[in-house]
This record gives sequence, C-alpha cells and structure tokens, in this order.
Amino acid sequence: MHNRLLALKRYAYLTISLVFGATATGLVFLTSTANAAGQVQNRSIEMSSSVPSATGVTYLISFKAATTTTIGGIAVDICNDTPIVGSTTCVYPTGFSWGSATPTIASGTVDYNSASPYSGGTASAVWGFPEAFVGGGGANYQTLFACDATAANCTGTTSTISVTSGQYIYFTVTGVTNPSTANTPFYARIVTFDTVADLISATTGYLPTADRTSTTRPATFTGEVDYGGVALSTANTVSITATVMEQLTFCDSGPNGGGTNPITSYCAGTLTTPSITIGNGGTPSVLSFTADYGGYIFTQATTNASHGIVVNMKKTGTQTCGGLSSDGSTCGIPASSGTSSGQPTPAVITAGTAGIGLCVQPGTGVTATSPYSGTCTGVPPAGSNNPPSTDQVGMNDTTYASLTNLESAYGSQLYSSASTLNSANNVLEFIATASATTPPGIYTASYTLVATGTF
Amino acid sequence: MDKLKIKRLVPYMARNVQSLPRVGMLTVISLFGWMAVAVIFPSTTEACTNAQSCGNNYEVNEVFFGSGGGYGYGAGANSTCSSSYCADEALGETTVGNTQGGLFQAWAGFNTFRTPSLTFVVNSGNINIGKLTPTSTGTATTLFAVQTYLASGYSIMTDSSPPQNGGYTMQTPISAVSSTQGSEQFGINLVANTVPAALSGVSANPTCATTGFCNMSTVTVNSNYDQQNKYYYPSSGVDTLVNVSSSNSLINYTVSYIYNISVTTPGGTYNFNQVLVATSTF
Repeated sequence: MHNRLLALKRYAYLTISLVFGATATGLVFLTSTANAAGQVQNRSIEMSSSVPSATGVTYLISFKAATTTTIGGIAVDICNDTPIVGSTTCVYPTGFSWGSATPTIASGTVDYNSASPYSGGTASAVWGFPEAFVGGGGANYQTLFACDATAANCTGTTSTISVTSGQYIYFTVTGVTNPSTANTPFYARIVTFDTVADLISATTGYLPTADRTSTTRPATFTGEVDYGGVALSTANTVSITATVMEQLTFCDSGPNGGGTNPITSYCAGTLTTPSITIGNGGTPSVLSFTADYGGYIFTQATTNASHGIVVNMKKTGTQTCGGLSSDGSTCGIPASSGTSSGQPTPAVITAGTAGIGLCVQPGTGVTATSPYSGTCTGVPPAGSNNPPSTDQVGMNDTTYASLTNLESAYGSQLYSSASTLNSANNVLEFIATASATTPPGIYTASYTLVATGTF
Repeated sequence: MDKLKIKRLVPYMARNVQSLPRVGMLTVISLFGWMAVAVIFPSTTEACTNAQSCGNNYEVNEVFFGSGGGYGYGAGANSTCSSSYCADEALGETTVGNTQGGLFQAWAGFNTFRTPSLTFVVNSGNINIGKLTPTSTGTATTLFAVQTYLASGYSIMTDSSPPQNGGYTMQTPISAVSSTQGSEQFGINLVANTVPAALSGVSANPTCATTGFCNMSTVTVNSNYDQQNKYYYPSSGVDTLVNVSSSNSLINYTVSYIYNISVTTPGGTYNFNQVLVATSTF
C-alpha cells in the first residue's frame, strides 16, 4: 500500500503542477444545488417556533431529491451530536419530542413538486395515508418515520412515490416539542428509502430493533436512497414590557364670549365657569311662559379606557327635586320629560308649561342616554339665545320611577362611550320655560358632572 | 489499509476515500480553473455517505493542499486525534473563506468542518421599557447572532404578535414609517438609527462578529427593516427579517424597537414576546 501511495503522490504532483501552477490551498467542496446524487439538496427544517421547550411546534421538512427513483419512506432523526448520516450515535436533544408515538403529519400529505414549499406551488401529487412512529430514545420520540401506508407504524398496504432528481419533497409535522436548552443547535438526519420495508426493517433499516431504545445508530442502511443533515437551533424569546397608564381627561365649561365652545384638544383653551343663566337675554334675563329659553354647557372627554366612559349628572344643593327651585326645597320649575312606562323620555317642552330639561349633543364615539338623547341642535341658532322649539329634552329625577336619577348616589347618566375617546366634545343643552302661574323669583339648580372610565 | 493517511505522504489528500473501491486511476480535475480540485475514484457500488459532494461514480470530501495543517482526523500513529480530542492544525494556512458559483461553493482553509452547523443566539433577558406617554417614544434594542456552515444560506423570521395588552393588540404601521409621537405605533428595524435619539449609538447595522468567513454582501435585510429611522412590524406578527445567501461566520444583528402611543391607547401593560426563528438551508 505504501508503494501505491507513493505512486499516487507522483501522479498528484504532476497533475497539480499542470492544473494549478504554483499555488494551492486547502478547499472544502460543497454543493449548493442538486448535483451530488445521494445527498439531498436545499434541505431545511423550518420551525414555527424556536422557543425552548415550546410545545405544539410545527416543523416543515423540505429537501430536493438527489436521485430519480422511487421512495417508500423517510426517516428524520433528531440528534444533538452531529447531523452526519451514518454516525453510529445519535445523542438525544434534551426535551425534544416529535410529540407522540404517532406524530401528526399535517394534512396527511407528503408532497413532491418542482416548486419549493415556500413558492406556493401546488403539489403535483400527494403522498396519501402517511403514518409515522418514533423510536431510538424510548419515550423520547426522537426518530420519525414517514411512509405511505394504510396502517399505523408504516404497516398495512404500502406504496411508493416516484420522484425525479431536483424535485422538492416536503411535509409538515405538527405537535412537536422543542429541545429545552436555549440558544443551542441540534440536528436532523434525513434519509430516504426505496421501500417502506427497508425503512422499517428490524435488522437493516434506519433504526433496527436493537437500537430503538438507545442512542446507537447503524452506519449503513439497506435501501437507502438519499440522505442529508440539517442544523436547527433553539433561541431565547425576546420579552419586552411597556406600560401605558390609564388616563381620563374630562372638563366642562360655559360658552366663550361668542357663545361657542372654548375647549380645545385635551381640555386646553380658555375655559369659563360652567354657570349659565337661562332667559330672554334681557337685563335681567328672565323666563316667560310664552317661549322656551336655553343655555349651553360644553364638556370634553379624552380617555384610553378601552371599555369607555359614562358621564353622570347629579343634583347638588338642598332641594329635593331635580328642577329649578327658588326656595331651596321645592322645584317651582320641575324636571321635564316625556314618560314611557314610568320612565322619562325625551320630549319637547311646551312654552307655558313650567319645566327644565336637558339634551346632550354627543361627540364622536359618544351616545346620549335617555331621556337626554332627544333630537337637539346642541348649538344656539344664529342670532338667538334660544334653541329651536322642536328640540327634545328630558330630566330624570324622583318624579320618575328610574332608580338612577339626579338625586341618586351616582346621579343620572347623561352619556357614555363604548371605547376610548379622543377629545370628544359633548354639548349639554338646557331648555326651560315658566308657566303663567310660576311664582316670580330666582330659580336655581346646581349639578355636578362625574365621568367614570372602565379600563 | 483501513485508514488512508495520504496527508502525511503527499501534499494533497482526500478524506474518507477509504470506503471507495480502490480501482482505476486517480484523477485530479479542475472544476474552477485554479480555484478548486476534486479527487475522483471510480465507484459503482458504494453509498455516497457523508461526502460534501458525490455522484454515482465519484465522491468528493474535504481536499487538502498545502505545507501543513488540517482538520483533525483519523486514528493511529499519524492521527491528530486522541480518544477525546482532535487537533486542527494551521501551519502554513494562507487562505480562508468562502467562494461560490452558481452550482458550487467552497470553503478555503485547513480548519474547515464537514458538519453542517447553525448557531443562533438571541440575547435573553426581559426588557422593561417603562411608562409610555403620548409625548415620548419608548425604545429598546436586542441582539441576535447567526452563524452557519456548509449551508446555502439562512433566513430569520419573526413569529410573534405585536405587543398585547389583554385582548388589545398595539397598532402597527402598514409600511416602514418614521416614528411619530402621539400616534400609536410599534415597529422594529435592523439598522443604525438616529431618530428617536435614544436609539442613536445603540442601534446598528448587521455586522460581522469575526473576520474571515463573513460576507456581508450575501446578507439581505427585508426592505421594511433596513431603512434608517423607519420602522415596521407586521400586524400578523409573521415576517422574514433577513435572508442570507451563503454560509457565514457569526453575524450580529441589532433589533431596534419603538413604541409610540396615542391618548386613546388603552391603559395597561403591553407584553411583547418575540420569537425569532432561524432556518438554514443546507
């Protein structure tokens, strides 16, 4: 043998000098596309998650056949030591599992096609009734056999597929559990077999019976067609936490000098005291029984309460009613609403029938609550202090059967939103009138507005 | 001869040829002019196992030229391996790195391994950005590094929903956009940024962690993530961040994150658990 090697040496020197001239360097040849029969090309296993110990992970196994032939089964062995097919050990990656003794091949198909699984190509044929089982690590389920069989464990009637070199073969296994160590590579050894019988052979197959509870692997297999190694890796999860504070910005204001809303975004602007005088605009401004008179309060709400807000109005002061009182106890100008089944409803106030009511002109994302949900303009008509006589108002006090009235603990709900609000302007339009018999005096009422967010 | 130790006898060697029938003539051919050489033994019966390239009638493994050095091998008197270790020699090694054509690629150097590998390391740790406000931008960065060998490339995917607060998912832009305070945005990119200022100096373009086998021209960052000061994240949570078309030594990637909220961004704690998946094709 030594002489033979010397001969080789001489021959090599000669040839090298002819081919390379004076320069030579070490090279490792690799194939990047199908050209080396036997070793499958463009092989990869895409994981749906790289999280250590993640369960229910999907593995997309894909490779190009290196040989034009028939394939009866595929072994995919997960190892921690090396992807080299033919290595006589396969160390179990801690925590890995194909999921069960009968792993699930998604859609029950092993497809082969000239298009890669990433290109969206439609499979030219489908490998029906694939079955799989595991072995090699006892209960670890580290070796997967995929085959075309009518019964579990690659038994029953089996068949093969005919593939040509360069065709993609791919299938998806679901329910996989990743190895438990983060940022750690592990490997898959892929071997295709000519028949199912050769794949599962108890003596010459990929995983002979004697090796099914150990890390031992045979160096060669009968019926091997193609092979290839793939490296995979687990990785840490990037966890980022950020906090958004719950916030609610609510304000109210009387009109500005021009009688319009002074509130700008996020309750900015020159707000005025929300105190209004309802009357004919004279000096003094008085109510009469011949007309309706109005006044406006402006509110604005901004909140990131994902379930919205409610705004309630609650009577303050000593009077026992929700309307206007001149003596601090009784309401000479009472709360006014329509009525339906004992509940207050929006209604037009008739001039000469003493009463006060309120209508909410809601902003974007806001819904007025009955009896404040009547039709109203929300803004005074040009050249007038008085709202249109057709505007509908209401006011919920103890006159009605409602438990959530102005005198209740939390007041009467004016409006609400179902979600967040961004500078939603809501106008409170008050309308009042007196009757011919309403005693003269100064009638007042005080209310507070309470906004409550649900986050 | 059970173990062929040509290395010690001739200035070139082929590893793992011992399993091939030793008949016929040894031929050295050039595949790439002066760049490459292959050792061919006529063979008709042996399985093509563990080779970097093979056909029905030939098999190519690692090929060696030079005055010394090499990848640890073998057993016996001339072995560079003990029962536990192999020595990789570097004497006279003058050229290292990768070259590739349309059909082949080659790694130069003595200390080349024949095992496909993928190294993927994502920095661990929980990042707490703290309180977000509509008038500021929350930022964070994290690092991951990838190295492959004997691969035709790899891709890095993100497979995680945008930050979530209970059942609410933070809004993401439909394309790469600038960071805008007061508008709800969650986005990432993989390049060096100057806006927001907090990312200046801590964000970075992909870089080689080591010299040698690193070819940044093969690295393609998805266009949604390679624009300075522009950020994107898919509402689906699934997207390819990086495609690399060759083997490379360790490349560091810095992911920059921005969080902007509006006044209506629901309050609460937003959690983002980003799963990065590396898939290498061999």
